[in-house]
Amino acid sequence: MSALSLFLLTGAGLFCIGLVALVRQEHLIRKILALNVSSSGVFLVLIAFARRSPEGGPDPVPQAMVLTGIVVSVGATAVGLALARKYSRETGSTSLPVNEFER
Amino acid sequence: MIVFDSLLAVSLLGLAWYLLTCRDLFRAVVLFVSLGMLMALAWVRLDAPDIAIAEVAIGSALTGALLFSALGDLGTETRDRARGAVGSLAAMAGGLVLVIILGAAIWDLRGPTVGLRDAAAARVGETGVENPVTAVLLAFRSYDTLLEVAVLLVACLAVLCLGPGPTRASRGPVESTVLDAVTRALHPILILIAAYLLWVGAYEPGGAFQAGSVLGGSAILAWLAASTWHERLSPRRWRVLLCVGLAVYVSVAGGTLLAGVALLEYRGSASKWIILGIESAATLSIAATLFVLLIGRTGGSVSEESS
Repeated sequence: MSALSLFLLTGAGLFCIGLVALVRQEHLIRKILALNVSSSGVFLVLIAFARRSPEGGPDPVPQAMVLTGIVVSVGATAVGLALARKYSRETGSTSLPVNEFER
Repeated sequence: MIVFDSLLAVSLLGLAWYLLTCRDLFRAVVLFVSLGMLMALAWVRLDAPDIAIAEVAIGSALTGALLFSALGDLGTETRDRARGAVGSLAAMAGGLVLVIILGAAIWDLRGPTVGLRDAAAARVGETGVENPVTAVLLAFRSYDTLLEVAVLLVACLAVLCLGPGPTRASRGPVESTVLDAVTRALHPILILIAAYLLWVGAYEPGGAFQAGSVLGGSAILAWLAASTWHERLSPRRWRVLLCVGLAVYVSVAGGTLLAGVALLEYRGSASKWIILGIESAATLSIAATLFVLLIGRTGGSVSEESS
Protein backbone atom coordinates (compact mmCIF):
# COMPACT_ATOMS: atom_id res chain seq x y z
CA MET A 1 0.00 0.00 0.00
CA SER A 2 1.51 3.30 -1.02
CA ALA A 3 1.56 6.37 1.18
CA LEU A 4 -1.09 7.92 -1.05
CA SER A 5 -3.56 5.08 -0.56
CA LEU A 6 -2.84 5.21 3.16
CA PHE A 7 -3.78 8.87 3.36
CA LEU A 8 -6.87 8.29 1.22
CA LEU A 9 -8.17 5.64 3.59
CA THR A 10 -7.22 7.75 6.62
CA GLY A 11 -9.31 10.56 5.21
CA ALA A 12 -12.30 8.24 4.79
CA GLY A 13 -11.77 6.97 8.33
CA LEU A 14 -11.62 10.49 9.78
CA PHE A 15 -14.84 11.39 7.97
CA CYS A 16 -16.70 8.40 9.39
CA ILE A 17 -15.33 8.88 12.93
CA GLY A 18 -16.53 12.48 12.83
CA LEU A 19 -19.92 11.46 11.46
CA VAL A 20 -20.56 8.83 14.14
CA ALA A 21 -19.48 11.28 16.85
CA LEU A 22 -21.76 13.96 15.40
CA VAL A 23 -24.73 11.61 15.67
CA ARG A 24 -23.96 10.11 19.08
CA GLN A 25 -22.49 12.98 21.07
CA GLU A 26 -24.88 15.41 22.71
CA HIS A 27 -22.88 18.42 23.83
CA LEU A 28 -23.02 21.12 21.17
CA ILE A 29 -19.29 21.79 21.24
CA ARG A 30 -18.60 18.09 20.75
CA LYS A 31 -20.82 18.16 17.70
CA ILE A 32 -18.89 21.10 16.30
CA LEU A 33 -15.61 19.29 17.02
CA ALA A 34 -16.96 16.24 15.19
CA LEU A 35 -17.89 18.35 12.16
CA ASN A 36 -14.40 19.80 12.08
CA VAL A 37 -12.84 16.32 12.22
CA SER A 38 -15.08 15.21 9.34
CA SER A 39 -14.00 18.24 7.30
CA SER A 40 -10.37 17.39 7.94
CA GLY A 41 -11.04 13.91 6.58
CA VAL A 42 -12.60 15.30 3.41
CA PHE A 43 -9.68 17.70 2.92
CA LEU A 44 -7.22 14.84 3.35
CA VAL A 45 -8.97 12.86 0.61
CA LEU A 46 -8.97 15.88 -1.73
CA ILE A 47 -5.29 16.69 -1.20
CA ALA A 48 -4.36 13.04 -1.65
CA PHE A 49 -6.33 13.05 -4.91
CA ALA A 50 -4.27 16.08 -5.94
CA ARG A 51 -1.10 14.02 -5.51
CA ARG A 52 -2.11 11.19 -7.81
CA SER A 53 -0.01 12.38 -10.76
CA PRO A 54 2.72 9.89 -11.69
CA GLU A 55 5.62 12.34 -11.60
CA GLY A 56 6.07 16.08 -11.35
CA GLY A 57 4.19 18.43 -9.07
CA PRO A 58 0.75 18.09 -7.50
CA ASP A 59 -2.47 19.31 -9.03
CA PRO A 60 -3.03 22.86 -7.74
CA VAL A 61 -6.80 23.01 -8.30
CA PRO A 62 -7.89 20.68 -5.44
CA GLN A 63 -5.33 22.40 -3.23
CA ALA A 64 -6.93 25.77 -3.91
CA MET A 65 -10.34 24.23 -3.20
CA VAL A 66 -9.16 22.89 0.15
CA LEU A 67 -7.67 26.26 1.07
CA THR A 68 -11.07 27.80 0.42
CA GLY A 69 -12.65 24.98 2.40
CA ILE A 70 -10.46 25.57 5.45
CA VAL A 71 -11.32 29.27 5.54
CA VAL A 72 -15.04 28.66 5.05
CA SER A 73 -15.07 25.96 7.72
CA VAL A 74 -13.55 28.32 10.27
CA GLY A 75 -16.31 30.80 9.44
CA ALA A 76 -18.92 28.09 9.86
CA THR A 77 -17.38 26.99 13.17
CA ALA A 78 -17.50 30.55 14.44
CA VAL A 79 -21.18 30.91 13.53
CA GLY A 80 -21.96 27.50 15.03
CA LEU A 81 -20.25 28.42 18.28
CA ALA A 82 -22.05 31.76 18.41
CA LEU A 83 -25.36 29.91 17.95
CA ALA A 84 -24.41 27.43 20.66
CA ARG A 85 -23.52 30.27 23.02
CA LYS A 86 -26.84 32.02 22.34
CA TYR A 87 -28.76 28.76 22.83
CA SER A 88 -26.94 28.09 26.07
CA ARG A 89 -27.71 31.58 27.36
CA GLU A 90 -31.39 31.32 26.42
CA THR A 91 -32.08 27.83 27.74
CA GLY A 92 -29.25 27.15 30.16
CA SER A 93 -28.58 23.81 28.48
CA THR A 94 -25.60 22.76 26.40
CA SER A 95 -27.31 20.15 24.28
CA LEU A 96 -30.37 20.02 22.13
CA PRO A 97 -33.47 18.43 23.70
CA VAL A 98 -33.55 14.70 23.06
CA ASN A 99 -37.27 14.52 22.51
CA GLU A 100 -39.93 17.14 22.21
CA PHE A 101 -41.28 16.58 25.71
CA GLU A 102 -38.09 17.79 27.27
CA ARG A 103 -37.69 21.58 27.45
CA MET B 1 9.06 7.21 4.54
CA ILE B 2 6.27 4.69 4.59
CA VAL B 3 6.96 4.06 8.28
CA PHE B 4 6.54 7.76 9.02
CA ASP B 5 3.39 7.94 6.92
CA SER B 6 1.93 4.88 8.62
CA LEU B 7 2.64 6.33 12.06
CA LEU B 8 1.11 9.63 10.98
CA ALA B 9 -2.03 7.94 9.65
CA VAL B 10 -2.48 5.83 12.77
CA SER B 11 -1.90 8.88 15.00
CA LEU B 12 -4.47 10.91 13.08
CA LEU B 13 -7.14 8.24 13.45
CA GLY B 14 -6.32 7.46 17.06
CA LEU B 15 -6.19 11.12 18.06
CA ALA B 16 -9.50 11.84 16.32
CA TRP B 17 -11.16 8.92 18.10
CA TYR B 18 -9.78 9.88 21.48
CA LEU B 19 -10.60 13.56 21.26
CA LEU B 20 -14.19 12.86 20.29
CA THR B 21 -14.79 10.38 23.09
CA CYS B 22 -12.79 11.72 26.01
CA ARG B 23 -14.70 12.98 29.00
CA ASP B 24 -13.07 16.36 29.56
CA LEU B 25 -13.94 18.99 26.94
CA PHE B 26 -10.90 21.11 27.66
CA ARG B 27 -8.67 18.15 26.88
CA ALA B 28 -10.71 17.50 23.73
CA VAL B 29 -10.08 21.02 22.44
CA VAL B 30 -6.37 20.83 23.22
CA LEU B 31 -6.19 17.53 21.34
CA PHE B 32 -8.10 19.08 18.46
CA VAL B 33 -5.38 21.72 18.14
CA SER B 34 -2.75 18.96 18.06
CA LEU B 35 -4.80 17.10 15.46
CA GLY B 36 -4.54 20.22 13.32
CA MET B 37 -0.77 20.22 13.72
CA LEU B 38 -0.57 16.56 12.67
CA MET B 39 -2.78 17.32 9.69
CA ALA B 40 -0.26 20.02 8.72
CA LEU B 41 2.41 17.30 8.71
CA ALA B 42 0.18 15.27 6.39
CA TRP B 43 -0.19 18.25 4.08
CA VAL B 44 3.58 18.64 3.91
CA ARG B 45 3.94 14.93 3.13
CA LEU B 46 1.42 15.40 0.31
CA ASP B 47 3.28 18.39 -1.20
CA ALA B 48 0.73 21.01 -0.15
CA PRO B 49 2.74 23.63 1.82
CA ASP B 50 0.23 26.44 1.25
CA ILE B 51 -2.44 24.27 2.86
CA ALA B 52 -0.08 23.41 5.72
CA ILE B 53 0.46 27.07 6.60
CA ALA B 54 -3.28 27.77 6.39
CA GLU B 55 -4.15 24.67 8.44
CA VAL B 56 -1.84 25.59 11.30
CA ALA B 57 -2.85 29.24 11.40
CA ILE B 58 -6.57 29.01 10.67
CA GLY B 59 -7.72 25.43 11.01
CA SER B 60 -5.81 24.61 14.15
CA ALA B 61 -4.86 27.74 16.06
CA LEU B 62 -7.77 30.02 15.28
CA THR B 63 -10.43 27.32 15.52
CA GLY B 64 -8.82 26.32 18.81
CA ALA B 65 -9.07 29.90 20.06
CA LEU B 66 -12.75 30.01 19.05
CA LEU B 67 -13.42 26.72 20.84
CA PHE B 68 -11.60 27.75 24.03
CA SER B 69 -13.55 30.98 24.06
CA ALA B 70 -16.80 29.03 23.70
CA LEU B 71 -15.75 26.66 26.47
CA GLY B 72 -15.54 29.66 28.74
CA ASP B 73 -19.25 30.22 28.18
CA LEU B 74 -20.63 26.72 27.80
CA GLY B 75 -18.51 25.06 30.45
CA THR B 76 -16.47 21.91 30.27
CA GLU B 77 -18.85 19.63 32.11
CA THR B 78 -20.74 17.20 29.99
CA ARG B 79 -23.92 16.05 31.60
CA ASP B 80 -23.59 12.32 32.01
CA ARG B 81 -26.69 11.09 30.32
CA ALA B 82 -26.53 7.33 29.93
CA ARG B 83 -26.46 6.71 26.22
CA GLY B 84 -27.75 3.33 25.20
CA ALA B 85 -25.03 0.82 24.48
CA VAL B 86 -27.14 -0.66 21.72
CA GLY B 87 -27.40 2.72 20.06
CA SER B 88 -23.66 3.28 20.26
CA LEU B 89 -22.93 -0.18 18.82
CA ALA B 90 -25.41 0.42 16.01
CA ALA B 91 -23.82 3.78 15.23
CA MET B 92 -20.34 2.30 15.21
CA ALA B 93 -21.46 -0.57 13.01
CA GLY B 94 -23.00 1.93 10.64
CA GLY B 95 -19.79 3.93 10.65
CA LEU B 96 -17.78 0.82 9.85
CA VAL B 97 -20.06 -0.03 6.94
CA LEU B 98 -19.75 3.53 5.66
CA VAL B 99 -15.97 3.54 5.91
CA ILE B 100 -15.82 0.27 3.96
CA ILE B 101 -18.08 1.63 1.22
CA LEU B 102 -16.22 4.95 1.04
CA GLY B 103 -12.87 3.21 1.18
CA ALA B 104 -13.83 0.92 -1.70
CA ALA B 105 -15.00 3.87 -3.78
CA ILE B 106 -11.83 5.84 -3.03
CA TRP B 107 -9.66 2.78 -3.65
CA ASP B 108 -10.94 2.62 -7.23
CA LEU B 109 -9.84 6.21 -7.78
CA ARG B 110 -6.31 5.95 -6.47
CA GLY B 111 -4.61 5.34 -9.83
CA PRO B 112 -2.24 7.87 -11.41
CA THR B 113 -4.20 10.83 -12.74
CA VAL B 114 -2.83 14.09 -14.02
CA GLY B 115 -6.00 16.07 -13.40
CA LEU B 116 -5.76 19.77 -14.20
CA ARG B 117 -2.09 20.12 -13.29
CA ASP B 118 -0.74 20.35 -16.81
CA ALA B 119 -3.56 22.57 -18.00
CA ALA B 120 -2.86 24.97 -15.14
CA ALA B 121 0.93 24.83 -15.60
CA ALA B 122 0.61 25.68 -19.25
CA ARG B 123 -1.07 29.00 -18.53
CA VAL B 124 0.43 30.06 -15.22
CA GLY B 125 2.77 32.33 -17.16
CA GLU B 126 -0.14 34.48 -18.29
CA THR B 127 -1.26 35.22 -14.75
CA GLY B 128 1.78 37.16 -13.61
CA VAL B 129 2.37 34.96 -10.55
CA GLU B 130 4.54 31.87 -10.30
CA ASN B 131 2.94 29.96 -7.44
CA PRO B 132 0.38 27.67 -9.12
CA VAL B 133 -1.96 27.62 -6.11
CA THR B 134 -2.07 31.43 -6.02
CA ALA B 135 -2.62 31.42 -9.78
CA VAL B 136 -5.59 29.07 -9.40
CA LEU B 137 -7.01 31.02 -6.45
CA LEU B 138 -6.69 34.52 -7.82
CA ALA B 139 -6.59 34.11 -11.57
CA PHE B 140 -8.17 30.93 -12.89
CA ARG B 141 -10.81 30.52 -10.16
CA SER B 142 -10.93 34.12 -9.04
CA TYR B 143 -14.73 34.10 -8.85
CA ASP B 144 -14.65 31.37 -6.21
CA THR B 145 -12.27 33.42 -4.09
CA LEU B 146 -14.52 36.47 -4.41
CA LEU B 147 -17.39 34.41 -3.07
CA GLU B 148 -15.16 33.07 -0.31
CA VAL B 149 -14.36 36.60 0.86
CA ALA B 150 -18.10 37.31 0.78
CA VAL B 151 -18.80 34.18 2.85
CA LEU B 152 -16.35 35.34 5.50
CA LEU B 153 -18.09 38.69 5.68
CA VAL B 154 -21.49 37.00 6.00
CA ALA B 155 -20.17 34.78 8.80
CA CYS B 156 -18.88 37.88 10.56
CA LEU B 157 -22.26 39.58 10.23
CA ALA B 158 -23.99 36.48 11.58
CA VAL B 159 -21.74 36.39 14.63
CA LEU B 160 -22.29 40.11 15.24
CA CYS B 161 -26.07 39.67 14.94
CA LEU B 162 -26.13 36.85 17.45
CA GLY B 163 -25.78 39.24 20.30
CA PRO B 164 -23.12 39.90 22.89
CA GLY B 165 -19.93 37.99 22.40
CA PRO B 166 -18.12 35.71 24.80
CA THR B 167 -18.15 36.87 28.41
CA ARG B 168 -14.38 36.69 28.29
CA ALA B 169 -14.51 39.53 25.82
CA SER B 170 -15.96 41.88 28.38
CA ARG B 171 -13.44 41.12 31.09
CA GLY B 172 -10.12 42.84 31.45
CA PRO B 173 -6.84 41.74 29.90
CA VAL B 174 -5.00 38.72 31.18
CA GLU B 175 -2.65 39.88 33.92
CA SER B 176 0.69 38.39 33.05
CA THR B 177 4.15 39.87 32.69
CA VAL B 178 5.18 37.01 30.43
CA LEU B 179 2.27 37.73 28.09
CA ASP B 180 3.13 41.43 28.03
CA ALA B 181 6.78 40.78 27.25
CA VAL B 182 6.04 38.16 24.61
CA THR B 183 3.42 40.37 22.96
CA ARG B 184 5.75 43.34 22.88
CA ALA B 185 8.41 41.22 21.21
CA LEU B 186 6.19 39.20 18.89
CA HIS B 187 3.64 41.72 17.70
CA PRO B 188 5.87 43.68 15.27
CA ILE B 189 7.46 40.45 14.05
CA LEU B 190 4.04 38.94 13.32
CA ILE B 191 3.04 41.99 11.30
CA LEU B 192 6.26 41.68 9.33
CA ILE B 193 5.66 37.98 8.76
CA ALA B 194 2.17 38.73 7.52
CA ALA B 195 3.50 41.29 5.04
CA TYR B 196 6.13 38.80 3.89
CA LEU B 197 3.59 36.01 3.43
CA LEU B 198 1.42 38.38 1.41
CA TRP B 199 4.27 39.34 -0.91
CA VAL B 200 5.87 35.94 -1.26
CA GLY B 201 2.56 34.25 -2.13
CA ALA B 202 3.17 35.07 -5.77
CA TYR B 203 6.35 32.99 -5.86
CA GLU B 204 6.38 30.56 -2.94
CA PRO B 205 3.75 29.09 -0.63
CA GLY B 206 1.87 31.94 0.97
CA GLY B 207 -0.78 34.40 0.00
CA ALA B 208 -3.63 36.51 1.29
CA PHE B 209 -5.30 33.93 3.52
CA GLN B 210 -2.13 32.90 5.26
CA ALA B 211 -1.06 36.52 5.71
CA GLY B 212 -4.51 37.54 6.93
CA SER B 213 -4.58 34.78 9.51
CA VAL B 214 -1.14 35.72 10.89
CA LEU B 215 -2.20 39.36 11.06
CA GLY B 216 -5.45 38.36 12.77
CA GLY B 217 -3.45 36.26 15.20
CA SER B 218 -1.30 39.26 16.10
CA ALA B 219 -4.47 41.31 16.69
CA ILE B 220 -5.81 38.60 18.99
CA LEU B 221 -2.51 38.51 20.87
CA ALA B 222 -2.66 42.26 21.37
CA TRP B 223 -6.24 41.95 22.58
CA LEU B 224 -5.30 39.30 25.14
CA ALA B 225 -2.53 41.48 26.53
CA ALA B 226 -4.36 44.81 26.52
CA SER B 227 -7.94 44.18 25.71
CA THR B 228 -9.08 47.66 24.67
CA TRP B 229 -7.06 48.30 21.56
CA HIS B 230 -10.01 47.41 19.35
CA GLU B 231 -12.20 49.98 21.06
CA ARG B 232 -9.95 52.81 19.96
CA LEU B 233 -11.08 52.30 16.39
CA SER B 234 -14.49 53.78 15.65
CA PRO B 235 -17.29 51.50 14.42
CA ARG B 236 -17.04 53.13 11.01
CA ARG B 237 -13.38 52.26 10.76
CA TRP B 238 -14.18 48.68 11.74
CA ARG B 239 -16.80 48.50 9.02
CA VAL B 240 -14.27 49.77 6.49
CA LEU B 241 -11.71 47.19 7.61
CA LEU B 242 -14.23 44.37 7.41
CA CYS B 243 -15.57 45.32 3.98
CA VAL B 244 -12.52 46.61 2.12
CA GLY B 245 -11.53 43.14 0.85
CA LEU B 246 -14.89 42.42 -0.72
CA ALA B 247 -15.25 46.00 -1.94
CA VAL B 248 -11.93 45.93 -3.78
CA TYR B 249 -12.69 42.51 -5.22
CA VAL B 250 -16.13 43.53 -6.48
CA SER B 251 -14.66 46.75 -7.92
CA VAL B 252 -12.09 44.76 -9.87
CA ALA B 253 -14.85 42.45 -11.08
CA GLY B 254 -16.97 45.41 -12.16
CA GLY B 255 -13.92 46.98 -13.78
CA THR B 256 -13.25 43.93 -15.92
CA LEU B 257 -16.88 43.83 -17.03
CA LEU B 258 -16.80 47.54 -17.90
CA ALA B 259 -13.56 47.03 -19.82
CA GLY B 260 -15.40 44.58 -22.02
CA VAL B 261 -13.53 41.41 -21.06
CA ALA B 262 -14.94 38.42 -19.24
CA LEU B 263 -15.61 38.62 -15.50
CA LEU B 264 -12.37 38.86 -13.53
CA GLU B 265 -10.29 38.27 -16.64
CA TYR B 266 -6.87 39.85 -16.29
CA ARG B 267 -3.56 38.66 -17.67
CA GLY B 268 0.01 39.70 -18.21
CA SER B 269 1.92 42.33 -16.28
CA ALA B 270 -1.20 44.17 -15.09
CA SER B 271 -2.49 40.91 -13.66
CA LYS B 272 0.34 40.68 -11.12
CA TRP B 273 -0.49 44.10 -9.63
CA ILE B 274 -4.23 43.53 -9.71
CA ILE B 275 -3.71 40.29 -7.81
CA LEU B 276 -1.44 42.00 -5.29
CA GLY B 277 -4.00 44.77 -4.79
CA ILE B 278 -6.84 42.31 -4.26
CA GLU B 279 -4.72 40.24 -1.89
CA SER B 280 -3.66 43.25 0.18
CA ALA B 281 -7.23 44.39 0.72
CA ALA B 282 -8.29 40.82 1.40
CA THR B 283 -5.51 40.40 3.99
CA LEU B 284 -6.82 43.37 5.98
CA SER B 285 -10.38 42.13 5.78
CA ILE B 286 -9.49 38.56 6.69
CA ALA B 287 -7.51 39.71 9.71
CA ALA B 288 -10.33 41.98 10.89
CA THR B 289 -12.94 39.27 10.25
CA LEU B 290 -11.05 36.59 12.17
CA PHE B 291 -10.60 38.99 15.07
CA VAL B 292 -14.29 39.92 15.14
CA LEU B 293 -15.29 36.24 14.85
CA LEU B 294 -13.37 35.58 18.05
CA ILE B 295 -14.49 38.49 20.20
CA GLY B 296 -18.02 38.77 18.83
CA ARG B 297 -18.14 42.53 18.59
CA THR B 298 -16.42 45.36 16.79
CA GLY B 299 -14.80 48.39 18.35
CA GLY B 300 -16.41 51.51 19.70
CA SER B 301 -17.80 51.98 23.16
CA VAL B 302 -19.89 49.35 24.87
CA SER B 303 -22.98 51.54 24.77
CA GLU B 304 -23.31 51.40 21.01
CA GLU B 305 -23.65 47.64 20.65
CA SER B 306 -26.79 48.08 18.57
CA SER B 307 -25.02 49.89 15.76
